[in-house]
Amino acid sequence: MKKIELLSPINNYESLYAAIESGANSIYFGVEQLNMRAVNSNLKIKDIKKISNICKKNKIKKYLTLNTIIYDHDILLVKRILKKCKKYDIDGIIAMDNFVMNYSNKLNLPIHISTQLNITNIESLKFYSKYSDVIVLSRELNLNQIKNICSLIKKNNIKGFSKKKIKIEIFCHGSLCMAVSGKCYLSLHTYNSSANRGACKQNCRREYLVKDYKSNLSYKISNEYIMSSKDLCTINFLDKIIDTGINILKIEGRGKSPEYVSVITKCYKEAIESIENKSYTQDKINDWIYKLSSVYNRGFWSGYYLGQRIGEWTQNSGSLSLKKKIYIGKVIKFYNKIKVMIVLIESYNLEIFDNLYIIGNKIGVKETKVKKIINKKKEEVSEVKKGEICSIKVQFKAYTNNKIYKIINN
Amino acid sequence: MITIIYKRDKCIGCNSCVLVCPLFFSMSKIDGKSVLLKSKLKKRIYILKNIDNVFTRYLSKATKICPVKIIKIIRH
Repeated sequence: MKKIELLSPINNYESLYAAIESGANSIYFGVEQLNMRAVNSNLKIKDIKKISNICKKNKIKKYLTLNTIIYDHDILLVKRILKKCKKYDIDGIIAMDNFVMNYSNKLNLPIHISTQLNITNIESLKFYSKYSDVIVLSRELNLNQIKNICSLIKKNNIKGFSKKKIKIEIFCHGSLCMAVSGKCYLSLHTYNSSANRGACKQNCRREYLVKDYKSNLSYKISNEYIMSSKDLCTINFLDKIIDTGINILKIEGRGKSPEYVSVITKCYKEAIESIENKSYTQDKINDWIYKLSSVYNRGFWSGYYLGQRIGEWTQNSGSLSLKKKIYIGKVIKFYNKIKVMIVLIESYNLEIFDNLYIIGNKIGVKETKVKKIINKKKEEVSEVKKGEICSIKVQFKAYTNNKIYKIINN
Repeated sequence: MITIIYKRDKCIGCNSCVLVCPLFFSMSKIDGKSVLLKSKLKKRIYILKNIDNVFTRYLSKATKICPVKIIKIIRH
């Protein structure tokens, strides 16, 4: 069985030592403003030397993350950081920008393709293998897909930039972003604070009210953070993860505290060792989960590795369609001979010349235009409001409990 | 008169202040952070004094847009 490398996040010297003591095989860190934790990172260019020396002494590998969006004004800084990395033997650069890759290649610095590049298939992996030695796969893949990619690397003998077999890295624990591979615009849109420049304001992590504009009523969704996903935890199926053929297990959390790094690293290290010496038991798993829960978490789930359906908490379709439908009521009775349906209006209102969708089990979707509305008093009216009953003549057969939607411009 | 206070250490180099206040800010190509033009450094904070009041509204665009809120205006 091949050795699995456990990669821990560090943000300061406390967490660096926490990672070393807890048995991490390697660490990753960012310096200055060019990393995805720019706002809470205190490490500077001068720290590269010190961190590198500490890691060398403790015989662990060290990687630098440089995976933000890069602008023209950042180019000199990127060059300076990469030259320092070369000088102090940093083992790899976690990159997403093509310039960072290109310049690292020039300096002969190994590249890890960041998860931000969203690698989800063998062909794009082949493409990036020309420039890199490690590929961090997209967090949205499931175990079968990961296994397939790993076996194809073996089968096709895909080699990286330094002519060694390409390695696969995946996230095993930590926060998950609601956006695909971290490409999120929420923070920039609301606060001009770009998540892709390491300044995410975490809009998705908050509690939201749902407001009915018509009645001006607000509903608090009880205790539910509708955009905030739980934290990834794989310790209870780590054997299956390792079985896929991956090489590096990465822990998320450069924004977290040293005790977080320590506890998570320790638990995963123990789990990897247990799998290696075949003593991976349910009792141990329970014990690890208990320990993992003791530090910062938003509750655990298995991420997308076991193939869960995604994005069930989001209702924002972001659709650009010109029309949309709103629910207004249902059919409570249908007179087939005269083709008249009795309708109960449950929200909004129904007006004459409205375009409607009638949707239901037997009917499918039918579209109609309201030409005449008769109210309960058998008078012809131009509008019926919420809570009222009316009858409408249609050209097709409808059924009780069919739903009625008004088609409006978006 | 107004004074601008700029805590440059925390700048993430997003370029926003330069976009809205090019008269006072520009991007440094050396370290990728924004520079408060003609300012003086005092205890790690950049200060630019004696600016005419007519620039208040113009500069407040920069204070508002800065994602890390490190630009401040003081009115005298």
